[in-house]
Amino acid sequence: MDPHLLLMIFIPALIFESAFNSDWHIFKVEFGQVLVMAGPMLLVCTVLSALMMTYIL
Amino acid sequence: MAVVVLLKELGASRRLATLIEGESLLNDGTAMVVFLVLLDIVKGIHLTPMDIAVRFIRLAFGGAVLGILAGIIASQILRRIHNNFVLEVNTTIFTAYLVFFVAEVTPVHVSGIIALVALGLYMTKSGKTRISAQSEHAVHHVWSYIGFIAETIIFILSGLIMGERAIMPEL
Repeated sequence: MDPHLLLMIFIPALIFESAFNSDWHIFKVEFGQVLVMAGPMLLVCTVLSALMMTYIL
Repeated sequence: MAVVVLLKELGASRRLATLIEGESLLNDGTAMVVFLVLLDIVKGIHLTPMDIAVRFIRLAFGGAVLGILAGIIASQILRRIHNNFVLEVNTTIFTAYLVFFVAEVTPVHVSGIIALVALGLYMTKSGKTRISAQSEHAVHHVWSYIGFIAETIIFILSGLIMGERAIMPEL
């Protein structure tokens, strides 16, 4: 099966459903923290995983 | 979503649940962007740090702009529909899939996941109030069901694929 087909079928359903069911007013308060964790912290996480895969495993 | 359900059952505050859900949403988008940029580097396409920054900003911010534009159009359409839940459910589903398709497949080429997150958040902020009162429950029930079935199929498929690789690695 083509992996892109899976992505095209399931990603919109999962992501939109999750975003649509969240509470906007609470989300607005938390948005700064969400951005910090999803942006720079994700890059840190990627680098750390790469380091672990190359040097430890 | 599974984590959020667990958090609610354990009695965690809504702020913590929203924080984790929001992070996992945006996380998907940025992880996908990082993956695509790294994939280009692995393929041997030469990218300067400037190229990477431009690509990152284009994918992320372009996605957000596309999602919000689609949200504005969808809520205008929803505003014009009165008490017809089939059309209202259909508008939300159609918009979500169309946005992902336009972002990922057409030459617009922005991040589809970030576009979907922006669309979903715009719809909770402004679109929800445009859905007529009689249809609101229907829209939510249909989306809960779509989310449930997509999640179930994803986990079954990943289990099958991993099991197959573990038992028969030569395939």
